[in-house]
Amino acid sequence: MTSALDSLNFLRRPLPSTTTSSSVLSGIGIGSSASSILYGASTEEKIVIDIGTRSLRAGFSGDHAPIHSSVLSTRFALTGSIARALGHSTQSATESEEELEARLIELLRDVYRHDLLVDARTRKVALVESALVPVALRLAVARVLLGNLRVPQVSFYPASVAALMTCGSVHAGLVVDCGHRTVTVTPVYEARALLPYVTSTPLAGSALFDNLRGLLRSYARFTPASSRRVDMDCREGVLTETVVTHVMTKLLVASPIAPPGKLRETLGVADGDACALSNELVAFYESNSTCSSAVTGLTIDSGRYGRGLLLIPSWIRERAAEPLFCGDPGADLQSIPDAIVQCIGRAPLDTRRALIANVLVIGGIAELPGFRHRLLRDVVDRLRDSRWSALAADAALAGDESAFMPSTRAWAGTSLAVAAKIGTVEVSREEFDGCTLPDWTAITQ
Amino acid sequence: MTDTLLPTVLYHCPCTGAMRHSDASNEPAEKRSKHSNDTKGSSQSERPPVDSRSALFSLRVSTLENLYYCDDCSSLRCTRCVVEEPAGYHCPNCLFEVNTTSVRSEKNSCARNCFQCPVCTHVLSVVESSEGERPFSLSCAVCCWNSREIGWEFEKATGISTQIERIRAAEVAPREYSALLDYWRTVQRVSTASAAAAVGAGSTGSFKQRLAVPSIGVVPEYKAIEGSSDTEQAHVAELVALENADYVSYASDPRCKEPQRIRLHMKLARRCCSCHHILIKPMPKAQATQFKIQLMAANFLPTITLPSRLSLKYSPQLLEGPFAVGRMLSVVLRFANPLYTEMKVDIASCLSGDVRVDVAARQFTLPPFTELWEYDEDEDEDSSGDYNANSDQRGGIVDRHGNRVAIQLSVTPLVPAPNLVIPLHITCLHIDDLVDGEKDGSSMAGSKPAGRKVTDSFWVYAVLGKVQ
Repeated sequence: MTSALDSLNFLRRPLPSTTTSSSVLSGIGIGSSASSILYGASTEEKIVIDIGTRSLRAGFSGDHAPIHSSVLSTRFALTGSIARALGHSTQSATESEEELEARLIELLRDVYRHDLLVDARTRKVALVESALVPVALRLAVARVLLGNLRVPQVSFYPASVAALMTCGSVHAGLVVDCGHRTVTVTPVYEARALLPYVTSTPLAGSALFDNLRGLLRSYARFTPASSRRVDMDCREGVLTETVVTHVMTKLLVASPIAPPGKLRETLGVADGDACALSNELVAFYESNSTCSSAVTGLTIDSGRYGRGLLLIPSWIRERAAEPLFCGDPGADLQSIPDAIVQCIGRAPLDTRRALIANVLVIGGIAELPGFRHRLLRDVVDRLRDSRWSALAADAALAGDESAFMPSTRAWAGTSLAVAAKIGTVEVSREEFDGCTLPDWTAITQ
Repeated sequence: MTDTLLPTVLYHCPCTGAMRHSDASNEPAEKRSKHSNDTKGSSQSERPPVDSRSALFSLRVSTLENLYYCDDCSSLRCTRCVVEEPAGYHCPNCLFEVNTTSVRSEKNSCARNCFQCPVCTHVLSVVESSEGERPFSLSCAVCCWNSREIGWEFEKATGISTQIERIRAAEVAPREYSALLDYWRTVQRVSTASAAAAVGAGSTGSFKQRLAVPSIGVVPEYKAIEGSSDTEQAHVAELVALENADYVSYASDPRCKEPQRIRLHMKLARRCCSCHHILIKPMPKAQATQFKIQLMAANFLPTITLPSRLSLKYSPQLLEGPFAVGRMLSVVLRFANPLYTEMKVDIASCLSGDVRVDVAARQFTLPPFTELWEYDEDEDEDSSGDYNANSDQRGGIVDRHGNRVAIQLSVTPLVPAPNLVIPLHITCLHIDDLVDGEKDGSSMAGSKPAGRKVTDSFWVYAVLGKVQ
């Protein structure tokens, strides 16, 4: 069984030997993909599934976008009716493998029944696997797919290399996967993910959510429509999770200007209750705000006080993602630009220039408007202050002009890889014994 | 949130979830023996299979209406362990049946003019207006939304889905995807061709040692497609100028302003996971809601309920508020026999630190089910001479009526809990007198067919209410 490190190894640079004739290329035209649409290729079509901490994407290979895309916290509410009757919270963390598997069974069966509309036993599955996925989760997903749903075969595609495929070249790239639980920086060179040099930071989507909620609790004002009170602060019961998620996904922008170093001491992820930003920092934010109005209004349904108007200071919308760029010194968490620079420092010397010239930012958080450009600016600033200042001039974003959304790039890349019949680590139903899965550490024979 | 709801009785399905140990043929020997020891142990000991306080509980139990029964294996099956397969596709709006091969080519949505209004999700209808060269558009009868507002106007009234798909396929993302696919297919083709040519035919190890792959020199570099404008700058500008955010919709899909095609509905046939016997088979016609084969657990296993009328009479504390720790509570459970043959029921409670359960009626017989018109009130009173009312009371049986028997349990909760759950192990024995023609072919003439004995045993959890 080949290991994931050897997957896609055909894409490496050639040795200086003779090439074959170029007549292979002559018959290739744009029509090849059109013909595959006409003739279906349904037997070779696989189902591509990307299960993350927060979202699930599923669809068919050969499609440019997943047919099903949902947020997991609302999905797990499906098992809710009896759980709610017994008083169990449907959003509690899973405590055991069995429970994780049971939830995955419900989830995947529902996806097959309502969106994929195929018999699970007829189509192979390709899983998009990120670099730091826990072994227990991999095993649980494989057991559910092979054991319960009885798919004939499961293959694992590395998310970083697949995402880089959507840019057209897997020669070199630094893939920054900004997910919900962690941000992972993976260098990819010659179609191989260089896993020993991976860095990560927990300042990701959930940290952004907590920070935003803390800022709103401390600085936003709420006016209930029913009462005569002018406004009140956003105490417990005003902000529901739906409202904060809506603000996070639709209303945030990343400011292009970083705060100066001395003001950053009080920056940190708000813990949801209190926010300890210093007054100078708030003043800096307000004076450097690019928003045209100081306050944004939003009509919301609060938890306990009915409908009302929420007034959000516009600097919160611009600066909620600030801890992701500047780090959290209080909790000793490094920022995303720091993680990128650390990864460059770990990577082999002769790959660094190629890697930093191709920084691909993927993941749901990367869809924040202005996020990627601000990230690049901060990386350039960090590089200039570090030992590798010569690299600062080469830093550039990859895939900036393409039409793929950052959150579906890994999925689309895997769909490409499957449709182009690029093979990888596979496990079939007969050979799976229920407890061991081939891993990237498996040694090739 | 722990609301005290009406008490219910939940049935436990013995499926183990993802990987049954019998499915994994090459599982290491230690694990397999551990599994078999566990199952042997649980049938002898009195431990319930799932702890009612764990979060796994709600994922393993269901009400009886949601369970299936395989009569070959004589066991319960739940929605999580049956094998589901498609048994027909149709559009839920126009009820047009779609065959399996067309489902994928139509992207799992209805190929005719079935669209959902983006505002109110009602079905849109095609209307004709008098103006212009594109008279047809989609309109909603409920909220008066019209597709002209987003610029969707059509020349023909039919095949609107095809026209929309053509527009969508001409967008940047699908074109870029096909360009990338062509590129990677070329690279793959060139690399396999050169690898096969460079190394001899006999060496099987060559595939794992792909060396010189002249892909970069031969295949031209990929160039991104022109035409994808930078929408991020425009988006940033829009957000920066935002003053009132009310018009920003909560929908996560960027296409939320456009009508969505209605997704097809798949009829499912269900099979037992171990013997592949069909449990549920729906009629293939889209309009038909009946089933050709319907093996529901309620038709084979006794229905256990907490009857309200009898509870009022025999266990009034059940319906009032939270229970007190240490105080004995009497609970009435009623068993109803769905079969046409008699059924013997054995009940066993388990030892638990949370609650003490005393079952007086450990064994009783359930009379067979009779149709309503055969039921005669006078006949019932006469035949109850078999069952002496006094001995019934001592034996814990409080009521008998037709095919139903109600028994009384004494329950004493020992610790406070948000919900008092009593696990009970039920074993039912009945004689299946349906003659299987192939098996009993030899003993046909004159002799009474000896039916087979069917024993079902399962765990039941009675959810009662809050304990303070």
